[in-house]
Amino acid sequence: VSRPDRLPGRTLDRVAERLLAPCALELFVRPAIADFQHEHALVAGRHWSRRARIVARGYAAAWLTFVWCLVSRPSAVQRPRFGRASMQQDWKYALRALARQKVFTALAVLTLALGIGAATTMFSVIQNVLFDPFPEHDVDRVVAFLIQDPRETRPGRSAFQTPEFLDYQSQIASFEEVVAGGSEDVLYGTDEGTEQWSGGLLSVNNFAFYGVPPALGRAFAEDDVRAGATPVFMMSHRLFTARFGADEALLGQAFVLNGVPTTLVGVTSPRWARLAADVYRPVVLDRANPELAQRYFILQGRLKRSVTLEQAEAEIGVVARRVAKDYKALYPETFSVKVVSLVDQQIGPFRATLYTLAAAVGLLLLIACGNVANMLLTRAAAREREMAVRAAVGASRARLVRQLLLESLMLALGGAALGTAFAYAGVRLLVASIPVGLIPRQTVIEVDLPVLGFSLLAAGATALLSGLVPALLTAGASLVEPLKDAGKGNSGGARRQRLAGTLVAVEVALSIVLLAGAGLLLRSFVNLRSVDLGMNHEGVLFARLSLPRGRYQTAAEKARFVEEALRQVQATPGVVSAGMTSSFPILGAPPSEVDVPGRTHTERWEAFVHLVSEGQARTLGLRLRHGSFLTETDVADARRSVVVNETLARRYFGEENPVGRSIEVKRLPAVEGADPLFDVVGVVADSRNQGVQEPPRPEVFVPHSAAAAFGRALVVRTTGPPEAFTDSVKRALWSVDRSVAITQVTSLEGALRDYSYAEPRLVMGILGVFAALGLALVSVGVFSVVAYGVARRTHEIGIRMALGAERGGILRLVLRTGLRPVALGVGIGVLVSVGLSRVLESRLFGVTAHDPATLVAVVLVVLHAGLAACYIPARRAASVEPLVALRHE
Amino acid sequence: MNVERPSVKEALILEALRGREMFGLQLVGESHGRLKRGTVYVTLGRMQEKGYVESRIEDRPPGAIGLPRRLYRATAFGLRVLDAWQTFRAALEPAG
Repeated sequence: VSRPDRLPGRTLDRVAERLLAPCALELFVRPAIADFQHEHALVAGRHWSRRARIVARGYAAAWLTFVWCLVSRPSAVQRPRFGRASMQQDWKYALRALARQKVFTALAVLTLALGIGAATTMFSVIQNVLFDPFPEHDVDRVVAFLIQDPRETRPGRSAFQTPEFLDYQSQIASFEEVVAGGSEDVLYGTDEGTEQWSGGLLSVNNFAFYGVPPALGRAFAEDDVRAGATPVFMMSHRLFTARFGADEALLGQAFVLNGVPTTLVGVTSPRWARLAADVYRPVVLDRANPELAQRYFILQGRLKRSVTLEQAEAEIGVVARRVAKDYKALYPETFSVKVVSLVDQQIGPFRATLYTLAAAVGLLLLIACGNVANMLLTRAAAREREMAVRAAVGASRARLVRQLLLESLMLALGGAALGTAFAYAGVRLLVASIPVGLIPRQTVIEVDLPVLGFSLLAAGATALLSGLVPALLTAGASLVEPLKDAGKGNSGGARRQRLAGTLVAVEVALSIVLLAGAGLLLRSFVNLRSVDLGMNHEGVLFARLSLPRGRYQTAAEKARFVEEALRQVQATPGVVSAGMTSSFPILGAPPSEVDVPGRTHTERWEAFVHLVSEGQARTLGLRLRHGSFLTETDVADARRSVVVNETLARRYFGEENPVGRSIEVKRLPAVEGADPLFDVVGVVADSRNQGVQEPPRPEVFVPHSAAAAFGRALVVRTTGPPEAFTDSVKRALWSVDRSVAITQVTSLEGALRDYSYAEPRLVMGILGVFAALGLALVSVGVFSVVAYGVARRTHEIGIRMALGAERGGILRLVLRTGLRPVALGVGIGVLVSVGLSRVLESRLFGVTAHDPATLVAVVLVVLHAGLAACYIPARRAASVEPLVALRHE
Repeated sequence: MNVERPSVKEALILEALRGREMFGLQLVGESHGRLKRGTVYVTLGRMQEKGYVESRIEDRPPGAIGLPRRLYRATAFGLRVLDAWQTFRAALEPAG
């Protein structure tokens, strides 16, 4: 239970108590605060993200209620202390004051709009991705659990075979309700050929469990899974719109799926993305059903309200040890159970990225605030007399502060309005550049009500941050001095100048941090793009095939199809060469334990296994180091020949030339029951095989005719853009067998762009934009401060020149004065950057977090920008005519 | 002539409060998204002014912290208005 002094909503309660009539307070606002406090106390000890959501929602509800009372219920508002008339007067006065200085107002609003717009854009991503990514209700309590092998670095198993699943379901007491979801391949025959869809097998309660009704038709019902019921399915909204043009007439029609007429009963909500499937069939998990016995289903459960993640983990751990005894083959000798929430499971990796960007946008907002504060300080100098006169005729200090704060608030509100417009555009741009698969499909990123609320809050905060100090300084200045010396370099001006210098130093430091981050990411991205992949990936189309199970069982049957398919594809106009492979190049392959006869080792030797045709190496542009590539005869005769990569040769054969030696690929005989030894006929240069960033692992290339294992895929080198050949390659394949489905078609370049380069490019791009905006704002800030300093010292400069000072000397004096805070900021910024750059360490590639070259480049950029910003006012100062300057007031 | 007629949200709340007392947040939770947290207190306050619902402060153990919550229940008048409105609507719907 929360301590009373930590109860949320107390401030609002106090504010509302002062501003609202007692009956309105009791009737409207206090019930909202009370419910919020109660709910907050209930979630104490839960994960911080859950508490943050509760707090955000509770605050929003209570404040909305309060604001509604203020706006819609004039009778509920107590008479303001200053009087409504004076408030109205101040608003009007503030408006007039801002309207008088149009350039200042426009610049300040634009500066704040950039900061608030960037912050609002990032907040809308964070709000929709981290706080409210799923449309499902009560999603915070939905969890899955993983059986984790401590020797494995990969995430553990979260899907269970049917009997195992049912045992867990009956024994776990932490769950209120459980749902099952499994995957299957669904083949749909068309006039042209066969399409493969990804299918989801869902327990009937899935839609009710998540509380997401279908967009069209109905969800599954118990009757759908009774014996003898007509087979039914639901279609994903994505497939329904993209493939079938959202034709509602399809509802109730039968589709032949996997050879069975199945009736379409519903279309899922656009935000339903369970299992990322195209179609869903209902299933009832039954031990007696032999078809389901070997199938795996993901178990997700909703935790009972009183159960925490830790308690559930402890209970499931006990149950899992009991269940493991009955399914020994499925469990490692030692294992642990890890319970993960749905939100963490799906958002996990992107969370850190978003927090980094949120921190960056925070810095940008601070720079914007610093800038506007500086502008307000400059402006305050010109208004010293005005304030002194107002104070002299009876305005209290509080009234003056309120007046000045109102002006900042107006600027901030203008900034928020324009910033929200920027955010609308920014969110669109950002959504278009977020790579596929980085966030859950059902997440919708938009500028919604909470985001607008944030924008208003940001406006309030910036108004305070940028307006409070200048307001206090101005309103607290001496009454007499400004009236006496008519503004010629009074003491308040010097104080303001010092404060302005400090603000510039802080802005420069923040800007250095942003630029250093962006610079490091830029260098990292350049390094990533210049990695030698070990192959020529440009101009290559990749197409994964799904061969119908009954027709292609053996290696020979598959080889016959592959041979004919390659012949047809190669005959297609525009195709340079084509080859068969079993896995997507660059991104890995199924691993196998390997052994070299005659060599001893204690650790397990592993290699990626590719089943390939003789044309694969030529098509991908692999480079031969020793021996030869696989030949047509190797493939046609299903010889037990193998080509290995350099890493394998070096690691497992040492100094020896592996050509002519044998290697055992243990995974293949396990499937085929054949001779485990393969003769090494060649060594190819390493090509990346576990993503672009990771060093290559050992790999072997085996003739595809030698094993029936794994899937089959085509690589096709084309004369033009590979994607343009998709249809002709499909037609060529279907001319051999119409029942073969093509499940994934992409160019290697496109796939790399989407999966390997997209996230680094996104983060670098966003941070780069923030850094550029920050630098522009800092330059404007430096300029305005130096220009203000020059204006303030015009009289002094005139005297210096009258006494014989050279123009060059004046130029140097102004530059020196202007660059002093810049240099200070650079120093602080470099130190802070060195400390903070570790945050980026995990995203860097080929560059260290403290890369001196990047820091030097950033410092030079900032110094040059600072110099340029100082030079214009310095030149103006140097060209001052002494006589004019002496007359200057 | 002015006819007493509950709004959609008011009807939803009155239906939920039929024969039982509930807190504002409970109403939101049970409405499956049809009532929003940001507006439910305003609606409840207005309904109280209209006499559709009445409320009381919850009984709390001594030493409880935070503001006491408000429990709402439908008044006989509120339920009469709801019933009359539902009958009126049913009569307007086409038969069959």
